[in-house]
Amino acid sequence: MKDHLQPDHSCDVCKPLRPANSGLFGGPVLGRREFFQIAGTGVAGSFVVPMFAKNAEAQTGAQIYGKARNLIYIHMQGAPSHTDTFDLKVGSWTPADFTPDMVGSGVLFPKGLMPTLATQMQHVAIIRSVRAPALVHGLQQIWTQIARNPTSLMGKISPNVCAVVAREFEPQRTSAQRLPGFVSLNGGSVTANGYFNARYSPFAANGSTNGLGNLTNFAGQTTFDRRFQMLQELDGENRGNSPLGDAVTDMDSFYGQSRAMMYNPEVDAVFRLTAAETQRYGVNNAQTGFGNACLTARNLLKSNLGTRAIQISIGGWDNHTNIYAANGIYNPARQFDKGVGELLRDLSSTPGLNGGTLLDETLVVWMGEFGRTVRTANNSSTPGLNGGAGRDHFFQHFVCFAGGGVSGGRAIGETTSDGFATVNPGWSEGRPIVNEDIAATIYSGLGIDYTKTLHDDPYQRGFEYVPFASQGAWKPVKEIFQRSAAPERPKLNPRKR
Amino acid sequence: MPMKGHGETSSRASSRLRPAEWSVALVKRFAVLAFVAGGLMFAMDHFGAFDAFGQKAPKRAVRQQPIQTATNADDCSYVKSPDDYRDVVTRHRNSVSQITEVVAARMSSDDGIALVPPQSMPRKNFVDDLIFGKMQSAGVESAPVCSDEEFIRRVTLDLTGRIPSPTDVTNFLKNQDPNKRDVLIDALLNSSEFVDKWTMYFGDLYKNTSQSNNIGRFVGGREAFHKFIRDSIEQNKSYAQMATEMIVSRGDSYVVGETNFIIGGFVPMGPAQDTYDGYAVQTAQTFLGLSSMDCLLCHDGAGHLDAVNLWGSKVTRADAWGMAAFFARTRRQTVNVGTNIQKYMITEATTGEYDLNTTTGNRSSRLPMGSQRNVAPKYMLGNRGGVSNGEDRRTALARYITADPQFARASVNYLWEELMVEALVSPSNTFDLARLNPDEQLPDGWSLQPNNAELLEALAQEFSNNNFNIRHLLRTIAQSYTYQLSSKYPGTWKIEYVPLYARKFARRLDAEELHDAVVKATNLPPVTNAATRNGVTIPRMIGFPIIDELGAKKREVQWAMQLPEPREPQFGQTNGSSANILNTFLRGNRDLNLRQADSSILQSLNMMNNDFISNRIRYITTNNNSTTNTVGYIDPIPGYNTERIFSTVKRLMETPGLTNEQIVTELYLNTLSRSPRANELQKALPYFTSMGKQGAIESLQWVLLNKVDFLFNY
Repeated sequence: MKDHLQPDHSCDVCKPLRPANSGLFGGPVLGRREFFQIAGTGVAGSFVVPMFAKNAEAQTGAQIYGKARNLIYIHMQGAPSHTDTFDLKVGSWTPADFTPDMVGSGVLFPKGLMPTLATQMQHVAIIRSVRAPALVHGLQQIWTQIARNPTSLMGKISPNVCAVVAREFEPQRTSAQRLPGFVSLNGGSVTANGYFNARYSPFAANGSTNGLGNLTNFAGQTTFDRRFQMLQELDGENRGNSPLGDAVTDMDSFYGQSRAMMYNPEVDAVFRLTAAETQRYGVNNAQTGFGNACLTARNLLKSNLGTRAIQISIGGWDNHTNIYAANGIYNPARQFDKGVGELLRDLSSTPGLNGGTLLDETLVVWMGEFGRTVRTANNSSTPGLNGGAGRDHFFQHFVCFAGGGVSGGRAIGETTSDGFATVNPGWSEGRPIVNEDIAATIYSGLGIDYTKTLHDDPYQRGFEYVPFASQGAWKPVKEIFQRSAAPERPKLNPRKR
Repeated sequence: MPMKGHGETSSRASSRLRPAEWSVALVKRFAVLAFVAGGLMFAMDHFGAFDAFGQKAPKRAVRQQPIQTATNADDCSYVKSPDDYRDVVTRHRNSVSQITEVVAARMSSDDGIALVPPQSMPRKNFVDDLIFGKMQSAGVESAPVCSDEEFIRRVTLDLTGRIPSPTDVTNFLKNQDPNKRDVLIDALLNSSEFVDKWTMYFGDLYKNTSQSNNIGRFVGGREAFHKFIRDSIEQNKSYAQMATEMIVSRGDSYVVGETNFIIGGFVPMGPAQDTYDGYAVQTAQTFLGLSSMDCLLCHDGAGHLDAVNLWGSKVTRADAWGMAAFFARTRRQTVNVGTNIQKYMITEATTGEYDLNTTTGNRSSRLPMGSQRNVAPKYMLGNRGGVSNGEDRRTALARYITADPQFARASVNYLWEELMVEALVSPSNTFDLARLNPDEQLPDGWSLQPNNAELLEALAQEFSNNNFNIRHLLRTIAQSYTYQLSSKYPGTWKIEYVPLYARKFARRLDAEELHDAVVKATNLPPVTNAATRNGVTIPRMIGFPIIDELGAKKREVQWAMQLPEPREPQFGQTNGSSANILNTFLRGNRDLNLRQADSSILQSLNMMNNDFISNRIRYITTNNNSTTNTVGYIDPIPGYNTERIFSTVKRLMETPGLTNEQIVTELYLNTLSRSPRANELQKALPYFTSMGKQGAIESLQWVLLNKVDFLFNY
């Protein structure tokens, strides 16, 4: 155990399996071919890279644990402090109004900070053994959205996980479903459709009491339709039927999708929020951008108009200074609490398409790009904090899953008493969880084969939904889906150096 | 201003991104520091930055040894996936090629043009000799020279950021002077719109903002910097002089505009050396096109840049420190001018060294090299000189930079890219100095970096021979037949032809260009609402007021291309939100979010339905009781217009005696800067019967604003 607490230690547990080319940080430097050569040589290979051998043997195709229809991915941008939220560690620094208390099956939770969500934690499984590969906002924000290193070859053309989900479900679209498969709400830094067709690019929108702008034309529908037809007539013969490739199709796709959304009362109703509901999702009876986004997400899924993947951003978590001031963590946490709390409440009381609730059919996931520091800085007078009474960037963090067949009210994985590092990964793979595992879990929960490779990428190397997952490098955290399956005993046996 | 830690402080790529470059810009921006962070986690040799997180420094970090080779090379992205960096060039070519194909395909097809053998192409200057010469040896045919209509719209947009007026177009077409294209270029170069456009361009390049992630210049600083840039362009200041003034700048940031260049290099949350590094990175990237400086300030090139940058692979961290040491006496003093409003005094101290004594901050530890405890300034290229007696450090650096051929190369490469879409070295800030000389034998596996190395050298030579005259260089490019090729390629186009520049490449209009093109085509300028801020009242006005943080009005501008930064305009308009349109078309913020040329659903929804468009299309009959109308026409506003301003639609509706054909022609000329082709006229005229005159005019105006050849420069 002691090893993991040393910041400069190196061990196989804290050094996740990462085949070469899938990322730049850590892991054995092996090409794909070498990996299999070594993995296939049994004992000798095992000696060189023990975990490779184990996983190569264990690999038997994708493990699908869910059949959720929809994904809501909430990106907590700026990186929330894990030890003040979903891996709460109480110390002399903890403000009294956090009122730490147990929720679910012995989950310590800041009930005072997030009182609404506290009533919905029965739906939520927290994973606490998550490690970020880097501490740079921009890089990590993209990494969490594409499940691979953004600087790797495929990283630069990779679509957002939400775009992959939208594409996977596109064949299920009916003619009446007019909204884009992938919608992003409340701004933020959203990775787009990568090399996928523009049809799967995030539609960046915000619901409001005034509805969504630009869905009607001042001239009225009849005239607008006539004008749209004129545009086709006058803008060349190539629109929509071009021998020139994707770029033309993309351009046509943007105008085509725009038009399909216009003059549709159902579409309008999705984005036109009632004042009462915006207040319920807001803070202190005032609407918030994030609350409105959660409300719009509910409407989108309830309307069943073709949107299957929704990304919502909420910033304000980058609390380098004065984290416990009113404009520190309280500000984003209160908005988050009401938005997600009410969203889970509503989804769990709305009937789904298949007998259960809408929440049963919707996988809700939230996480930041990394966590925040937990130890007292040299120049700090506040225990646990830095010199500015805040917390800086740190590797350890969390991810939460709710709905979609997730067995809630639990925490998986365990960290040191101060939240510095993982002591118990809490899942069958026995190592800290990284972005690629989380993506595999999301796909698995949606019934999507996360080991799938598409062969339409411009490099013709094959786009793997989760890189190297088909070789067993990354796995879904199955433990969140099955309450009965006890996590395997963690394997914490660092190889002696 | 949120405080940010790691990574937020690293370099930025070229400030104007085309879509395909976006991802690689991220690489450049984040890879280095990200991998430092990764090193912390896995390799643990790279521990310098950890104290910034409030963690205890490990024992290994204080070892007395040179740090340059301490990084675990296995962790470096350059080593692991050099293809990533090489593919960028191909990706950009692919994107440029595809966009051009799309746009060209939408253009009317009755030109009857044909490919031309390069040896038969006319030659204007050395650009044509080197471009067509290369095309000839590659056995590739050239697109023909573009039509006059194509040319006037293209060159007016490229040089001034505006579309030409109908009168400009018709006069140009009527003009029989064989030199009329050169005459037009000179007129544009001497126009005030030229100054607007290039002030915007250099504002992007130098990242002039009132607030950035790392530091606030505030409106006072931003305005001073804007004025410096604008004055320099207006006076046609030698670019070497402009660069020198920025590098050596000192004084009050609200008064001496160019100090705001230095200020932009500030790096928070670290020791002073991080900021010296920041200044060096910014200077090297802006004036030398060397983004790899950011890598080299953390570690040696060897073991990192070997696969992607031959020159960089031989440079050491100590070399890079020598560059940063030129800034080791640069001091920035903060002066409060109001509540949370600051300005800065930039000075040059008489003492101070670049000390090797850091274990915290944004970069890996700086530890003594043997007995050497600090680094003296030494220019890393050319003759590797230092500071002369009596000379201050930044003056010495400016002397070295402006005398360096690389300064001219990097500058002409940026300017070439702005006109030609595809840079000679692409992305334009990733120079590999060991792969520029066409006469040098390159090691196995390496090829020349520029698309046309001879041309790059010739342009750089031309630039320095002419006292770094920006207008002269732009004239040289714009006068060439290379620039004047059609964007149509009447033959089989291949991506391999992109580096040969065998056709002109198309680009989506920049946000400001698009905004101003809509305004100019429809003849309705933005009208800003009356508003009160901080006790100061701004009356209703045409154009945009520029105010400072206290609400005091400083000046006003008429065109989006004249806005000093993407934070403007801060007030809303009564006839459609300008900021909304500008942001939808991705002008970025000159900081972490750079300008992009992508398209999107939101862009098409806005072009079809936004008030900014519809208020300029609707025919509104004049209400004689109205004094404040701004939709469809603009009533007189004291101090701005004494007569009602009519939209193009209203004018065409109410001008007596116009035939339908004349109306269609006027709409095409106003919006697309060309006359309708015969087949277009044929399609358009029946609308007057089926929709009535008003319906036809409004609809045609709407359609033309949504046409591909309005949205793109081709």
